[in-house]
Amino acid sequence: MNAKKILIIEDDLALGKTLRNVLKINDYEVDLAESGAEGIQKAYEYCPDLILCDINMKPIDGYQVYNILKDSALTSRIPFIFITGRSQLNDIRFGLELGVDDYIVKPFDNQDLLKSIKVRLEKYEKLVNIGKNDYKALLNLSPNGVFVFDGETIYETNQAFLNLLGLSEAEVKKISFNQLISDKEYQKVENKIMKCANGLLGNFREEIELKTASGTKEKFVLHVSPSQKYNGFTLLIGLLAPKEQEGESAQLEYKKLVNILEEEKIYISGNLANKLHQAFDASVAHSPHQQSTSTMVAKSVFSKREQEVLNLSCKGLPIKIIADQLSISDRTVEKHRASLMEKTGAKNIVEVIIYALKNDLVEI
Amino acid sequence: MEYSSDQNIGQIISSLSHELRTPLTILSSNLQLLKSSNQNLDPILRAETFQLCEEALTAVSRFLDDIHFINLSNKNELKQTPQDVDINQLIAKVLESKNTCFYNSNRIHVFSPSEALVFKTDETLLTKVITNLLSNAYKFSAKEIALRVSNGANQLNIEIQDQGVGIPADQIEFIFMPFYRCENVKMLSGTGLGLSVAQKAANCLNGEIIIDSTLSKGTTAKLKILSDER
Repeated sequence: MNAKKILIIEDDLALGKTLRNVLKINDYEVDLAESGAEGIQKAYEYCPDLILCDINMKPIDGYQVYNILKDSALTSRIPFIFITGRSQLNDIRFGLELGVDDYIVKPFDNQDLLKSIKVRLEKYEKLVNIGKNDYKALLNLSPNGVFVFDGETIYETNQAFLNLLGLSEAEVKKISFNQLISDKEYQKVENKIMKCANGLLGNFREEIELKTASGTKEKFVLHVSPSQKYNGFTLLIGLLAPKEQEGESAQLEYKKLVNILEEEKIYISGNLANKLHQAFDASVAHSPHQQSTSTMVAKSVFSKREQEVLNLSCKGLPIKIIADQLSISDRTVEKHRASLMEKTGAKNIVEVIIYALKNDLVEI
Repeated sequence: MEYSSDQNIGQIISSLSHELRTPLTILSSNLQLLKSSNQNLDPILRAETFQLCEEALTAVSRFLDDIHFINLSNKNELKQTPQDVDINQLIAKVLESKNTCFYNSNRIHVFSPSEALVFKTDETLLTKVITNLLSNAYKFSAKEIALRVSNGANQLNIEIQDQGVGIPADQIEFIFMPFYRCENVKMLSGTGLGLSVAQKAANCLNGEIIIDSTLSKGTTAKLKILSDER
């Protein structure tokens, strides 16, 4: 296992050296910063696993160091322990309120210090692992190809990426990104990738064409954004989304379905709705972005009564029964339905229901 | 040190606890390290551990010495025992003393009359003044430091000139106060007692220190001691 890296920020050089020696003897890798400013810089450069920081420093004190590091996504999650001569309860409370992980008061027992560090590191690792598992699950559920690379070498991919290209994990690691696409396609993105890697560009998207597992050339949208710094170079995250064509054809099929339902005058039963829901999910998955925005719009736009009418309509109940259940007149139910159609841009109530199912606005 | 107000006493106690805590922590932590893993320490690390302990001890004792000295002076119990002192020899001794921050430095240049300069004064007190002034010059500058010695009629002049950070004009009136530290040097470690001790020692020697400073250009400390023999 790699030694954990600890950054000590301490302006008293003798105490800094002492801490360093105590930690080194206990198999930690240690960096020493002699001022707040140097500490902030080193926190970014070396990405330590934990930071030990003195409070009483000039001109930048420990609280300021903490606040600055907390504001950055790169450093905010690093466990942070204050070392202080201030033993007053108020000071300790102030630090803990800020969100500092622990407090060590001078003079301290070496064992206490080591124990505190160990506990924080373990807790941090657990959190990271939970995050990692969630992240992996999400990545593998995604129908889009996701990959981590440094502009050339590909380090990690999700299953969808491998399926898309018809390559094994081992094969992907042997080739570099530019080998996946033609030289002409690579020229379109090369510059932007370099800029991303150098921090000159936040992110970009570009249409590219690449050879898929089936041997045909297909169009994709490539999204790239910087992820994290690792040993001095920046890792990038790439996302390959199929260019939306299937999405449109699914829409067409769906229109047909609605027409059939209309003509047959079929009320949607729970079972059928479920099936529709599932059928829809598959096509929706191609455009998750679109889905989320429309859901947001719809949720904020529907009134409480409209939502109730919608819920009952989804159960396939006729207008009369809906009116009875809500103790309102038939005409009022009609009015709400009309309003629902208007808001969802649907031509009839079946479309409204399907819209609602598609966007998870109702429970079946 | 003024003992008149509670606020002052509070400030003194807080300075005391702060100044003592760090060296005590260093001592405590290094001793624990030696005790728990003495066998496994490699020689370099062991040597450094002992050195850190020694330095911490020196810092504590010096701090207590300074406090004691200021206290004696405040109670007017400071006495000088004048005797004939070879000033050049005394300065050489100061520069060779191992317990100073400027030990072994090649930044300090001494300019003194070539013939032996003997002056009747208290050797210990004069050593204290020069050591403290040189420590400051060394600590607050990174360039060459000039130490000039001259004598007039019944008078000894020692001038220490650095090219360091300087003292802010609005703070120059406070610099002899115990524990006072200028805003521009607070990131450098120190107790704020050095100039206070130097001044009290100089006063006891029937002398005075005049500080002439320009921010970012440097500081000149002029020590003038009048001889008792007139």
